[in-house]
Amino acid sequence: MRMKLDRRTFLAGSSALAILPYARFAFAAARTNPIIALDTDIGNLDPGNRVGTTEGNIIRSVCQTLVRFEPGKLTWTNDAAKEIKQISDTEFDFELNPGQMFTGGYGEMTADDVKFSFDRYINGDKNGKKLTYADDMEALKSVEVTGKYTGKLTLKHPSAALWLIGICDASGAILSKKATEELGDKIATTLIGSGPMVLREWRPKEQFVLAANPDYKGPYKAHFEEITGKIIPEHKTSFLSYQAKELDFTAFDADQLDTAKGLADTKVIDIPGIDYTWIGINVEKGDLADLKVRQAIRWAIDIDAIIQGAYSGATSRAKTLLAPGLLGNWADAPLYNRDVAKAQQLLSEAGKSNLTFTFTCLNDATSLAVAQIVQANLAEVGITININAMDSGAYWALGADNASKDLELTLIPYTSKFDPSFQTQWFLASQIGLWNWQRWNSPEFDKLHQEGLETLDKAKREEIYIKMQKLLDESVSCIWITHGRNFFVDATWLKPMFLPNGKDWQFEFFDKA
Amino acid sequence: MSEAIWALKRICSERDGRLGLAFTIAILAFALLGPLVSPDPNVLDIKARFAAPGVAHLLGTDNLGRDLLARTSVGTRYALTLAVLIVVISSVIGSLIGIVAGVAGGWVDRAVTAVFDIVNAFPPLILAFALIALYGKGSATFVFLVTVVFIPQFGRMARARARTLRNLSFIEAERMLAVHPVTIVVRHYLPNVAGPIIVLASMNLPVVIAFEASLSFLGFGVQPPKSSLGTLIKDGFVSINQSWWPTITAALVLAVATLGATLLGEALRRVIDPKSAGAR
Amino acid sequence: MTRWQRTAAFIATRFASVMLTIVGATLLLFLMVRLVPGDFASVMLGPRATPDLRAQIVHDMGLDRSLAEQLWLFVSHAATGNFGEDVVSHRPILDLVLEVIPNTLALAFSALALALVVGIPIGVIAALKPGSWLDSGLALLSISFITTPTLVVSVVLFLVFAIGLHWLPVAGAGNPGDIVDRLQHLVLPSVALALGWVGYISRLVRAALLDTLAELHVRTLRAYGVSEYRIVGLFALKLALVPVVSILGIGLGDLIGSSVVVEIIFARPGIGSLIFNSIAQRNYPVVQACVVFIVAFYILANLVVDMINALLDPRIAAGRG
Repeated sequence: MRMKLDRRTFLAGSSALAILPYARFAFAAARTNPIIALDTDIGNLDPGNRVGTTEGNIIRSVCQTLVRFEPGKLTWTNDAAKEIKQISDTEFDFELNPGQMFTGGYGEMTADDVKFSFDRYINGDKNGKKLTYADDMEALKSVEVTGKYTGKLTLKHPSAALWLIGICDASGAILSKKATEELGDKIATTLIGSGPMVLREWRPKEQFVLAANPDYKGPYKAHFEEITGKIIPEHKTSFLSYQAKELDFTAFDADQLDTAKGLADTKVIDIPGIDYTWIGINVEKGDLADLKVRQAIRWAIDIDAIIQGAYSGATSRAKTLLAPGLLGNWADAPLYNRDVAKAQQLLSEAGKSNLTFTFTCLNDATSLAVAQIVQANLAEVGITININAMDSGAYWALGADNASKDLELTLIPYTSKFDPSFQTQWFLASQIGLWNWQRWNSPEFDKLHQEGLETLDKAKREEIYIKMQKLLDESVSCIWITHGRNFFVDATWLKPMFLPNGKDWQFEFFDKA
Repeated sequence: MSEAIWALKRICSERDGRLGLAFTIAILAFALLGPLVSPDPNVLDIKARFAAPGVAHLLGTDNLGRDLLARTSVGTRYALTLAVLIVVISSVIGSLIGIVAGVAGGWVDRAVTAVFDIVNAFPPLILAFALIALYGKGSATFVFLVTVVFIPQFGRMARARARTLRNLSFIEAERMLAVHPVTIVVRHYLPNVAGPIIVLASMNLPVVIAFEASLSFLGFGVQPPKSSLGTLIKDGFVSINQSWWPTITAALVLAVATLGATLLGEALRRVIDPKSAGAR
Repeated sequence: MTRWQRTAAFIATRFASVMLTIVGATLLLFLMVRLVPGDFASVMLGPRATPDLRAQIVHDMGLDRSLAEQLWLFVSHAATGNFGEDVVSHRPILDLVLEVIPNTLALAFSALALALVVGIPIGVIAALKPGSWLDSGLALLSISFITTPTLVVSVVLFLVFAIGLHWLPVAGAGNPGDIVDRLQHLVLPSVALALGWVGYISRLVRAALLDTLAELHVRTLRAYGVSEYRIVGLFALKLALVPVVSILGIGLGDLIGSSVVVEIIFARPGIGSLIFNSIAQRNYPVVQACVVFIVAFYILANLVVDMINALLDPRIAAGRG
């Protein structure tokens, strides 16, 4: 103890004291424009090659899309488009508003720009290279220019998803043809748009500043002069920064909920997630090919304890693939509450004992906690679990080159999009060796997936997706854990806005409370 | 044996030596005896997460309700084991390479020295980082890769020593008499190199302990479910908002371990190699 | 040879050997990456290994050519700062590295400055009264500074000053352009990084000062009745600083190496955190570029230090050159 005292005295005497007079840093009271935290830096600002949600959020606020999501909703109204007319299930005519100017002196938006922007998803970038997000526009066949402001979209097949995850989202951002061609490779770091905001500054790994675009002609003017986004990779750190009033808004992890609730001048925002985390079981691998073994594992794992121990009880339990609120949520899905006796009985019926499996997961704290609880749970029914925690690079590399064939139990966190087909695609037979780590192969499931893609009627789609989830349930290849929950702390004077998944933030709709 | 007792007496005759010995014994006792007075380090008790220190758990519990005294103790043991392994292996290999270079001279010597220089051109933590990133994790790989980082230090010392010995008349005489080189190395070089290498090894032990902790903290050392002091600090740091106990406990143990090992190492150096005791 | 000629010759030899070491280190790095088992392009790309990208990397890195050609490509590219395009962000890797380097340099240099400003006085005070309780107390203090791992210091400082007392900011490097804010964000990380070096330098100064004070000419000065403070201040300290300067090169390298831990804990952008994140993403080309930069910096820092030393103390050039 003495040593510690020495060091503190020393510190106080030599350096800390000298700094103290200046130690009144950035106080919230003085701020009229918010400073918020993001956990990921901008990687690439080309809408079709963006890396994550950070760029998506920036792109949606800086660029115009034909139609824009309304504040906090999945419904949309016209933005760049003055009118969109449906000719048939696969044909749409659009007309742009006149006078929508790109920033940086790149002129007015015309139908040519729309064609140019969308064609990149069909034909690839200037070198013909396929865009990272090309699949968002998978259903789009062609764009035809019919006048200065008018054009026509033709689809390959009827598609509900095209609008939800393509045209309305960042992939649908309308770029300036002239700017993109002039900028060349710099398009990765320069974003020219015509939307409510402009990206005024970006200091990589540090921060970016979004400012209101005074020339924006559309209906959704930005409320703040400026929003500063600080890049802070760890939620723990940004939460501490928030407590020190260095920030006005940040996401935080479930286990800090109690602390957050006790903070002054703070709103805690809690948005149920639509993502899904589950334990995937490789149905081809050794003893796991035995349905009874898989059932035994499902009965033996205590999901409620996982929710308590790994998520601090601050998230709700998932029963199935599609989260409540998404089209096709199977509300009556069965719940498998831990039953050790049943698990043991199934194992003895299968005639298996002394089983050992590897549990693969990411090496973050939550995943490791889940892994260790599963390890303890399964030990009670005589199954030994070896934990294989991997860093993110190695872990996601399992999605290529058939590297997943040796997996046994795997903790998998996936993010969702608003159309159920986006979620179900990862369980198709064609994804075996890529992202179908369960390696479950069901022709019936595949057929239903295709049907779901091409059906427009909501009730019919609902039925299709529930049927698919029943098949998944019977396969005992997935043990669902949670859809996640998004927690934010927010200074009371600020009103943020997100789409219903809690991941897609709408900077243009951030406002004073 | 009597030499060891003599050295121990000498170490105890000065304040820093006594302190170092006391800290080291305390840490060893903690590592070895901890589990005897605490519950199983791997038993979960979800309801008792983040318990404060108390009768049931002397140092409280972690995020899964596991006993922290037991976990810190086991983690200390694991960290020390790794550090000792790394120091022993790298000092043995380093000495052998160094002696060979020193005895052989010529281009062998130049090549070995050049390689040592090049390896030393990398900051150690960065080199270990890059190696682990490229060649993977796991305890055995970890020990091997960190060993690579530390070999040049020992190699240089052994080489310098061997160079001076090489020119001594009695060794030259034996060489003239065609005594087998291996015999010469075993009879003369090894005993003469051993002293300074032991000193260097003991000085390096705390460095390696801290090194391992840093790597484990960053997730590039010990892999879960095994834990060392570094991983314990990291685990605690992740949930610093709920409880600052776990981090501080592990950090304190780490600090005492490195301080103890350093004081002891320095005292040992003054005993074995009194000439160099003045400057560092 | 005159003193200056000797110094110049010494510097020239050192420079040549330094260049060789840099080439050697680049070679080692090249081999290290190349010896990883598996298809090299896949190793480099990891999860992003689409056929297109693989073909691109094979072309960019000349994997279709002979090993000697590849090595030449790598070294010459590294020498011109052409590290290729980052496969994640599609931006030049050089840009990624240059963006963060100023932060790390600011951190390392301020830590070094702090270590000197605090370490030298402690060493001098200890040397003035060798054997006193003050001296032995300072010795213990110095040694505990040296041994306490940067990791522990960082965590403790973070807990006490950022979270507990709220005196200093928690995360990041501060607002760009706001000097005061930047400095505040620099305090805790640089103290954390400097502490061990405070210990080193104070011990070094103490030992060197005692050696110098024991030397003949100092005794002569003493005999002439020059006061002890003047002896220390005017004559001895200058000589005692030679070993301090010579260790600064190693110091800078060590500080940049340890900056990884500090940058992670204080969420500071910098080359340490860039390496860390790139390793976690298996983004090896970026790791490689960072390491080349760090090694070159480390070696050059040592060279500069050697030169300063040669100028400061002609005996070095004479003895070693």
